[in-house]
Amino acid sequence: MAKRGEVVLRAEQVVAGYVKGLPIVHGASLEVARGEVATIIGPNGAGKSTLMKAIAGLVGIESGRVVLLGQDVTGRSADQVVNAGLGYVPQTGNVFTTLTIHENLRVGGHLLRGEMAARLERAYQSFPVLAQKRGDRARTLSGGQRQMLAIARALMTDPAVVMLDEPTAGLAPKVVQEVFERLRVLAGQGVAVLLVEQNAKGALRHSDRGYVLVEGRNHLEGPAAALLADPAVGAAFLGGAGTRRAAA
Amino acid sequence: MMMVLQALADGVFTGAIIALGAIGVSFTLQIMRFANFAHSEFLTWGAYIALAVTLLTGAGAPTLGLTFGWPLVAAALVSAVLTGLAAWGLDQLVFKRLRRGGAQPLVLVFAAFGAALVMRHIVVLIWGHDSYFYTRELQMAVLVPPGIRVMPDQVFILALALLAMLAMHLFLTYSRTGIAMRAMAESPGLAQACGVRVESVVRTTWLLCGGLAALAGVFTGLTPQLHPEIGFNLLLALFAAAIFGGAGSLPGAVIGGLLVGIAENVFLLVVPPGYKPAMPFVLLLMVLLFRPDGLFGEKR
Repeated sequence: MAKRGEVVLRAEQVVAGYVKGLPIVHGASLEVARGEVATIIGPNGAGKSTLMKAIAGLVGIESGRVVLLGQDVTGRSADQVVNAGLGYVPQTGNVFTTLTIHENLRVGGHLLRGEMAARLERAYQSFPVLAQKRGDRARTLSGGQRQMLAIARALMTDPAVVMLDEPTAGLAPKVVQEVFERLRVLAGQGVAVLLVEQNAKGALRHSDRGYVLVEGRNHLEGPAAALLADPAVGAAFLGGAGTRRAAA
Repeated sequence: MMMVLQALADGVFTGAIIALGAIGVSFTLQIMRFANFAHSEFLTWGAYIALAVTLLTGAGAPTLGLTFGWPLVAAALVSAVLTGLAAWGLDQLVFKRLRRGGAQPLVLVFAAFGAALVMRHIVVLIWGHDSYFYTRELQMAVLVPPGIRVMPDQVFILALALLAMLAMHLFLTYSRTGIAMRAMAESPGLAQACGVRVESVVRTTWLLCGGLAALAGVFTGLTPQLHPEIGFNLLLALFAAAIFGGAGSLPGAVIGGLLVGIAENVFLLVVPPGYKPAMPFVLLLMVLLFRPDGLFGEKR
């Protein structure tokens, strides 16, 4: 892997939304480096998911820039952004339920040419539960298994950056822990990991850096530990823990 | 009893042809997200393109007890390729522009109606309203135990249709593009996020659906004649079969096609032939009332 700490994804003043002229993200910026986990938190409707979709090329960007591995990918189509080195796991519908596990992984590696067999093998080695069920339809998987399949699928192309939209939503606490640990391991291998999380506290505990997005703009940012300790963040975004002035 | 068996056999023969056309309707419905009412015209175009080819080559000397020879089979394959290209061309000319402009599905449906009229009348313009035959050879039905009359042509057509369906099945199950097509059918956004290019899947879909429609058109034209409405007359049957099977399901479209074919023929045993065109309607209503996602369709 290349130099750790090198910034591989940078979003600059991104303005984006589903309908032109009605942006949901009003100029958000962030960066993620190799080997680090960064988390975006913020209230519902802050534009966290929309920002991710804009980076992934699934939502139009009106202004601002997205730079991936030094390449300007602003306004490129989703398949081109994947080709440039991004892996994206959406919040809902992140596996093809009508396809088998094996087929899901093959679609994940759609852009691969020669390395398909080796990558499939690697996916099954890191996720043995998927190997046992490779011929089953993805709809038969449990929530946690689906999340693992979604992650394995996004890793098929060996992306430099992996973005996950609420990967722990609806999962049992034990599985949540497992997902976070997986992502830490991934970062340890030199991948840049970007999360959007409702489970802000849990996510920040496993992150290096955090962004607080409010009304489509950067509200706060900094080392995850500092955000966790910040009473203002705790009051407004972490469920009011550690302070009694939550209502203020 | 024998009459019922005969109706079943006839139903399977027409049903297989309907199924070939319904596959295309089903996949455009699921992948392009609109009801392509111009699909029936791909059958007509396919039939006439093959006719044009056979005017150059002839339908061939009768072979294997059929009324035609290999040149007609070759003409059908050429027509499948050309009709596939025509379907893709129609998409580039009409549907793609509307998609780009963010048109609602209903706008696409109306555009498809318009395209169907234009396509049908291009055929009338070139060939007129007269009927044409691929071949003037006559064929006697063969009595097959337990007493069903079948034409060798029908058996051959059924075999070819099943072969085309098998090829489509293998393509969708094992090929990179086929799996991407099914992925796109389920979730276009996620497929894109996997690196699948929408336009390339769209192109493949049109080429395949147009090709299968052309085969259905040629087979319809063989039993026994071509006229500019051969596709249009099957339109409802195609949609009934596709919706019956569930959008985006190959086995669904095949079984849907067979059921519609069989139902039409069995229906004829009890009601006057004039009501035959109503049968797909009745089936369609039943499906929409009792199982709106179709037999094999995914819940949406």
